[in-house]
Amino acid sequence: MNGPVFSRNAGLIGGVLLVGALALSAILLPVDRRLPMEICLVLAMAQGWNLLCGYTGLLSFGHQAFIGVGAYTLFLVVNTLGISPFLGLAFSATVSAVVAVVIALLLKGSRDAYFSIGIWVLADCLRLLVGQWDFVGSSQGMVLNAPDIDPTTFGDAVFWAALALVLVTQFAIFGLLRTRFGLGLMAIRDNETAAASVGIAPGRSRIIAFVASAVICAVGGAIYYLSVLYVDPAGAFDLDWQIRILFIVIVGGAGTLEGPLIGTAIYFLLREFLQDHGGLFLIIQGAIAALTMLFAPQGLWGLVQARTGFQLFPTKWVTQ
Amino acid sequence: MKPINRKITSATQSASRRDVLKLGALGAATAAFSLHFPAAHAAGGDVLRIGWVGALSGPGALFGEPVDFIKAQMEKLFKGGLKIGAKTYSVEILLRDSQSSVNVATQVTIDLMTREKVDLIVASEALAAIGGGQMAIVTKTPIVSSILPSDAILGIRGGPDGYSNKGTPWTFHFCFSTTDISTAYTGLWEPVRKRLNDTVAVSFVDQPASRGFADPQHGLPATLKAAGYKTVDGGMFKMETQDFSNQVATFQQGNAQILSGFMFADHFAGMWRSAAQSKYKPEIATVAGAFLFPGGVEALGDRGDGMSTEIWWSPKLPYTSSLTGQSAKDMAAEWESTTGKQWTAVLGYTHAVWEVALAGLKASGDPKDKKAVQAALAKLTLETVVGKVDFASAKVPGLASTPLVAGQWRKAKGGKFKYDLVVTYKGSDSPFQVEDEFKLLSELG
Repeated sequence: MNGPVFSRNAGLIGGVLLVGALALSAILLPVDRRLPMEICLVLAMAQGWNLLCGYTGLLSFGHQAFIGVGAYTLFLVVNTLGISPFLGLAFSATVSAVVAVVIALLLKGSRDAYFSIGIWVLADCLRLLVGQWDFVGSSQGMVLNAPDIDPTTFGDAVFWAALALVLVTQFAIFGLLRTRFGLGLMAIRDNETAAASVGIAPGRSRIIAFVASAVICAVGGAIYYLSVLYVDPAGAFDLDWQIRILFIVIVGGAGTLEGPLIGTAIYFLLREFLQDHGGLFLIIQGAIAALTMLFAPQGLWGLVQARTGFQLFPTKWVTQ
Repeated sequence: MKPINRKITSATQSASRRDVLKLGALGAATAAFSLHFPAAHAAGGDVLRIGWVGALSGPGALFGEPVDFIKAQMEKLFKGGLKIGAKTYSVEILLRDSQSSVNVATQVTIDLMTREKVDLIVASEALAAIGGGQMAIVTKTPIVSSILPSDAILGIRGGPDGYSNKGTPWTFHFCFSTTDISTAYTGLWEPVRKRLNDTVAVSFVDQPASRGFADPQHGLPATLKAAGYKTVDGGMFKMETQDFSNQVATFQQGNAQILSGFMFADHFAGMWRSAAQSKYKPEIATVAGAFLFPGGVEALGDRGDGMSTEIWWSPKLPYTSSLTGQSAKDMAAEWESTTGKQWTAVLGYTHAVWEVALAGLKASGDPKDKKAVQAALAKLTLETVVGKVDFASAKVPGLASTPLVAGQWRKAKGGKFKYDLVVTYKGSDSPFQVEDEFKLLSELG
């Protein structure tokens, strides 16, 4: 490898500083917290999906299913049990974990394209099922009955929840990747056969990564729809969620912890400048994704890494 | 005959697709904008910020078609600011594209409330009031909306209490209800009913407004039953459905002479093709949604003659705009001469949403005080270009109803457009004029 070789903790200071600075600016800058909240949620979802795709190679086109399940679980428990929405997030996590296990069992034998299409179909089935279910308002959707919401602090409260989710996600995945289990994941990413031959169980690692990514997306979705107070199947199970995540991870760099940070920044910059230009936003977004895949298949961060070997969140062991 | 029809269909479709592309490419020029109209006299005075959410792109883009036209009207109106009471306010309009998606509509609407801190939101298609309705209560931002049956928005927002926030609503919606549509349909068919077998085929696309229409207790099936019609149920189908041979076979077996329900133009075109192939020939085709826009009828080629529909607005109505003083007729004529396109009901309603919004701001005395604007809107009664909008005596606070009639698309006897929409049923208390009697499809064919 060319370029400077970093010890495995040198970059981390930068990584922590960067994330800390971003979080602090979101907290301290006198801007409305709506946009920072959305950025936190989308980044967390992308990071969760990246754990699955980037490290175990399972390309899911159906993570919108978990966003929907998380949101609907929250609305259901809050409306029927009358509990605090923030407590409801725990239910979203639990239910989505169960759904993820069921989906994992259903798609157990499917790999590659079969897995991608299979989970896409299952996600759409869930959308259709919820759309037929009168108790949750069928295709008309449902509103959150949370009468004790305090309008003055509500916006801040969901922002804090989103910030907590993204920080926990970022550092938990970072920590996870530096454990024995994480090493196993990265070994699977780099060469599955070789990994299996040294005693790593790819199947079990995949399920764990799958469930973890599902829970992160579910809690992210639940917080997002909590901030809106209304959920409908067409929106919560919208493939657009998945496309957004896909764009962020592919452009930023799959299989790195830095990639989704870059991808998220690019996505939201594009959206802020182009959202109101109709088709133009989608055209430019598509063009960027296509160009990245052609000229930087490892994503933008992959490009940086290949040149410098630098990592903000070092998960690589370097012998010196 | 058939190949010609198909050719016409595809020509119309590609034209509309081209329009959509044009809209995208010219994005910078036409789609989103923020307009600023400084007050002529009061330098550094208060700025009134009005958000506007419309469907500028996506599958519902036809509902946002009048945005540019209305924008030009507002430009004229706000030149030199807006005078309310003794004060002249600068006006800023922030237009956002909902992309016809609830998710996007919700995001941009909440963005307008929290980040842009607008004083009021105009939702010319109701998506913003659906997704942003709850947050309107939390952020105390009034939303004025229309173009969605009133019972649909009521159902979505959790019934009268939920919608009206227990009597102090922040969303102000005016429209007809699905019961009005059903009643108009049975009224429309009454003159020819004796000559038919009282059997109605119904089919619905799975979409919020349509679900309300399909409701067995309150929707079209209930009205049909009460009027003594027998229904042949084709069920509910998904938005992306293209094959309607099953439904058509069911209708044919049930010998349904009337075809009805709720679907969009593309769906109906598919169903009508399928009907032609299997020689299913209903005598009446009255469908909600599909024939709102002339394009939906033109897409059927010559077989579009006699399609019937509910009518919300027409240039022949005796109303005038409270903003421009224009009559419905003059407004439609101006639309046709500036855009080269046939008038649509959406034009009148999009204009009327602005009429109501501005009347609320003016009546509040202090448009920067959201509570005052809310109170003014709740008491508002206004004669608009679509008729009287009356929130003061609304049964559900914040939900006013507007009249609705029905009629038939007929081959035009001249003029530049292929079909004209002719009122054949005017109900009991609407100011519409009946222009012709209702005809069976076999009488026109």
